Amino acid sequence: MTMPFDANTDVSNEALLVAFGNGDRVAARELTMRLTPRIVGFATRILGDRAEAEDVAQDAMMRLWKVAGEWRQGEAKVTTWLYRVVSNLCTDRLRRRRSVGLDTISDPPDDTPSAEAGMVQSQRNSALNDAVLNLPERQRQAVVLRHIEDMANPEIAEVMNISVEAVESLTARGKRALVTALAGRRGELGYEDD
Amino acid sequence: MTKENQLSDQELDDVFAQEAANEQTLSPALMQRILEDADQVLAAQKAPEISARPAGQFTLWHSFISAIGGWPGIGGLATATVVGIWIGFSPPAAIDELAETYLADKNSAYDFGDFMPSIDDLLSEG
Repeated sequence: MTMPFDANTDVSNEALLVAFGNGDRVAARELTMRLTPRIVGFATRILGDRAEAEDVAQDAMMRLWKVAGEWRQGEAKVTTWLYRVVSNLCTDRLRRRRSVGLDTISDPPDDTPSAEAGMVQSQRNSALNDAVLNLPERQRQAVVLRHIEDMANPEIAEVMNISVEAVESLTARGKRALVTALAGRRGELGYEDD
Repeated sequence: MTKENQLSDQELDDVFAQEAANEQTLSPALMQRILEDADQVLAAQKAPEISARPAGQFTLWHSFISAIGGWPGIGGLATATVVGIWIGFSPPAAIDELAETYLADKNSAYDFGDFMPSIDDLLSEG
């Protein structure tokens, strides 16, 4: 049985996932359209590489499809689970980069998004993204989840598998570092220099 | 760089808000890759269902077979059954002779009471 999801966007992610677990392909399409742009955006901000972020998103969605059949309703939010998977996959990739010594080469800012992505970043957002990419990895994740993905601290704690206090500490330190890093780029951010 | 050049909290929040408002798009190629993965998972879920059903119906039968040692056990059991029935209906002469030798003929056969202990045996002092 397939549900007319296009006509009813009120269907929860969880209901869609359960429908997919019962063999509904239309549910997979709706979940992909809802969730993938968000996790690609998150992974891009963490990794600084759109192509790599798309690979991570595909990997995370594959894991989601595989758990759909045994998803226990009411136990976890689909988005929290998915962000956690993405967070771990990004951490793995960053660790791998370090182990092969790629960190010695400066991270290229993701200022060349693929044409198909249609993501034209303004100078303002480039300045922010550069500064975010220069934060330590855990601070970066916490800041992006809190201030760009607009997630509440308890949910971030669940995604990152740390305490709420640790999230507060990471976001506070991350913000302070950003303020310092962006001080010389007020003009790019659209603010007049004092 | 002076402290005066630093962003205020409000300014930083505005920059975050602008970034968050940037709509992320999903490339058709990525969408296709992800949906192909979904199809692959669905196909894998359906495949074992077809072969699992007959196995599920004969679970007890399969347990019994494995308990007696598999199909060779079934062969042995069938042979023993046939031989038992054959002996029952048409006993070989050797078995009759054996029975007469050790149990005497049917006229002098023991009675059930012969196997019961006598009250005298129980009352006798030793």
